[in-house]
Amino acid sequence: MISRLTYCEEGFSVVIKDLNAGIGALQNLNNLGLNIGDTIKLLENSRQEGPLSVEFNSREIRIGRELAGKILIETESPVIVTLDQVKVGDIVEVTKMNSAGDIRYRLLDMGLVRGVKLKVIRFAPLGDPIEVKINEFMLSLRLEEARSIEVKILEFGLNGYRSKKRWWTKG
Amino acid sequence: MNKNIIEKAPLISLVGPPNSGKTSLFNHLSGKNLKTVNYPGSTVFFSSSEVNVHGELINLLDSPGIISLIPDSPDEQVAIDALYAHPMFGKPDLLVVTIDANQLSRHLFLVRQLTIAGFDVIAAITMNDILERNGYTIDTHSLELELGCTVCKIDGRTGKGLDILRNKLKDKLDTASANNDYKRNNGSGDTDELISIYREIGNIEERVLLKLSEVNRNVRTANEALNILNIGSSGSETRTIDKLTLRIDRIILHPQWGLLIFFITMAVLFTSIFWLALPLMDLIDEIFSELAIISTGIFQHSWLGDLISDGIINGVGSVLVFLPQIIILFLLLGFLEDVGYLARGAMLVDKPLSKIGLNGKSFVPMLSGFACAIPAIMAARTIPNRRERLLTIFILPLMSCSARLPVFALLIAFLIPAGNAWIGGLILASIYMFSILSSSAVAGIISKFSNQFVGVMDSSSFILELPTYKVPKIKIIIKSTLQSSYSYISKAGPVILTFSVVLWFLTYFPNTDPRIDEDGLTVQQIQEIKSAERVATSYASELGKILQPVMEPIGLDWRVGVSLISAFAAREVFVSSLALIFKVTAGDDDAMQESLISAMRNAKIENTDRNVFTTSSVIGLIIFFVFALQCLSTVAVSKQETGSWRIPAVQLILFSILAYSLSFVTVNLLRVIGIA
Repeated sequence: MISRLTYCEEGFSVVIKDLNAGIGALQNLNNLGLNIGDTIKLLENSRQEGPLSVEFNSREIRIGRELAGKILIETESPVIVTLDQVKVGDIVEVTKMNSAGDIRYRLLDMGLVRGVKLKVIRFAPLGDPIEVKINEFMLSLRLEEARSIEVKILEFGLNGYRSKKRWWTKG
Repeated sequence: MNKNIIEKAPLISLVGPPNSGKTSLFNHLSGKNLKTVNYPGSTVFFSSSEVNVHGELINLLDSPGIISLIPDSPDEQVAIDALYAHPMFGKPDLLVVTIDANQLSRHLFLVRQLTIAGFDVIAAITMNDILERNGYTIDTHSLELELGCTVCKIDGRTGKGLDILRNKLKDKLDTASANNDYKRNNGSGDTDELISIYREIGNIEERVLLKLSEVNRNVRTANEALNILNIGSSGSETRTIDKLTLRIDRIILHPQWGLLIFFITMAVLFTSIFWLALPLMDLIDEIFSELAIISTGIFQHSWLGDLISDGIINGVGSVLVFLPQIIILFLLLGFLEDVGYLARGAMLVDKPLSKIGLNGKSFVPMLSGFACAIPAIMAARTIPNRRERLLTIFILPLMSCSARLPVFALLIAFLIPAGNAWIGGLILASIYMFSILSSSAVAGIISKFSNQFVGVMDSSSFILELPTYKVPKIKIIIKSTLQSSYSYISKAGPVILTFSVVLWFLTYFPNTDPRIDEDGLTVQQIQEIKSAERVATSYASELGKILQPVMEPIGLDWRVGVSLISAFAAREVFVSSLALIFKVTAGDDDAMQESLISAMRNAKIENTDRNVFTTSSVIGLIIFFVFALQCLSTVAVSKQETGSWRIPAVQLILFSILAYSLSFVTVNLLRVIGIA
């Protein structure tokens, strides 16, 4: 399945499928020698913060988390993504609700059930909470609550790619 | 009386999620012209009306919007309790649930919960026109089969479909009464027996239904059923939200501009409750002191006259003096809520507040707390999560309110020589910073132990719908502001009045007419000396003398204790009470402060030559005022808003202990490092 490099487990080899990045980031990735179709092995990934470490052409490269999020890869291993890890513009489908107690019922009340589709609208200026479009309204919830919601990414947000291209950048 | 129950017209409750067109349906059915509500939760009050449905008289009840049968706010709690047993109308015979056709997946949830919980339900689907404009329609027949209840479409604006609804209402009511063997009273003798059986059954039913665990179990099974069911039947994922809202949000929630706009909005809000309310509060003060003078003119200076003018009239004044702030705050808050900004503002500041167990919505009450804790505690109603609301109310008395200013001004003026205004300002600013830091610390600690302190197990959460921007409904805002002001006067008012009369009694009796040497004194001086004498020999001073051993460790004596007791009426009373007990008499405020300060400098602890007011003891006193809950009105409002004496009692005890021990530590530390 297609996934972001940041969501992958350590120790797996993956194939780069797409670079979902703007001009600058694309340049950076090219400088690292990474191109679509390359196979890389993930050595280190904390899933929460800090740079990732990958093996490519038998050398180790460290990639910042932000940049790594722009690398879309193909992997056979199952990937678990929670709602707090998504990026703005992603369209996701809820696959599992792990929250418990009163919060679970509150989320269910708001229509967060298995199979519902969400669009990630934005993160609040201070990074928390997250705003998603669910059914026909906007819902805001804390990252802590989002962490308990497992999702499948249906469509990767453009993440600045393409949308940032202006008429003067040509192609 | 018994007959009323059986003769009573059937009761139909209108239930529905906020903004689902419930109120406009109510208006249509009742013919009343109530306006539609905008923000989730703004119909805090019930409206009821007698309606004629095809020849049969029914009671129609409008209620606050609810999302589900699990309450998340006091409004919802009220609405849900009323569903099972309304305080005035009893159990509803039939529920009409309004459902926004555009939010089916969310709104049908409530219908489902209600049917599984055993209610007789008619689902009225609203806003079909918007859905149809988007190219969709709802098959009511298959929806009826899915839900197992009657479904019909209505239009809240034009009233289309209401006749069908009325027919179905009538049908339902007829069949329901047949099923229940519900006989109308026709005056026969054995009805009394029937009634008693009915009552028994009714009581048992009510008992069972009101049991929260039972209710929750029903709801829970409903939830679980739904979790599997996942109604997305009408398939409508791809419709767009109001474009304008999205566009405005891009600015309002912008990383930089958004925060800037938020702080400007909050600054405006704060300055309005701080400065705009000031002239009005002064006016109320003036009116009541005039009234007191008039009543003194009528009753003379007897104990009864003083009770009326000082005790009762002043007490009423101290209730009403908070009204301007309450009204201004609730108008602004209602406006921001109605427009749709409040939810977004809360989203902007939720992160730092969540760290100390609070919610983004705690920000406005906390900010208002710097003006006055009374409106601030009332504003905490907007916080949906019970635990976070109680926690916010809990720490609000620690915000440095404006009533502390005169006290701090006096104590700072004592500490630093005149002319060094900027040092005074610096000290005042650091007092404010200190109060912010300490209240955050207290909130952080309390939230860790919140189960013991506030007795609520809810988890802290921020799951909030961001409503679309709308033009505010001024009438509704004014109505709910008046509602809040009225509930303050009727609930907290009597408590505050009682407290202030008791306080007056303590500082007045038993020596009501002290004998003094009146030679060569004007009438006013006689009065001033008399009242000083009276306080010095009052029950309050007896209490103060008992407190002497308590006051000594923080370097003060019983006279300050008496002032602290009288400051429970309002913190600023501390200053005038201190003046009274140190027998300082002077005309205007400035002269009074000066002579009070010089009196403080000369004051010795009784039977010793040690000064009462030293640098260390005054700093200790400042610390005391930062923490102590020296305000009976706050206690009364805290009781009103939390619904029990538990939290105000814990606040009073905890903050007093905190104030005393911290001031003790401060005084003694200062003495150890050589500052007397």
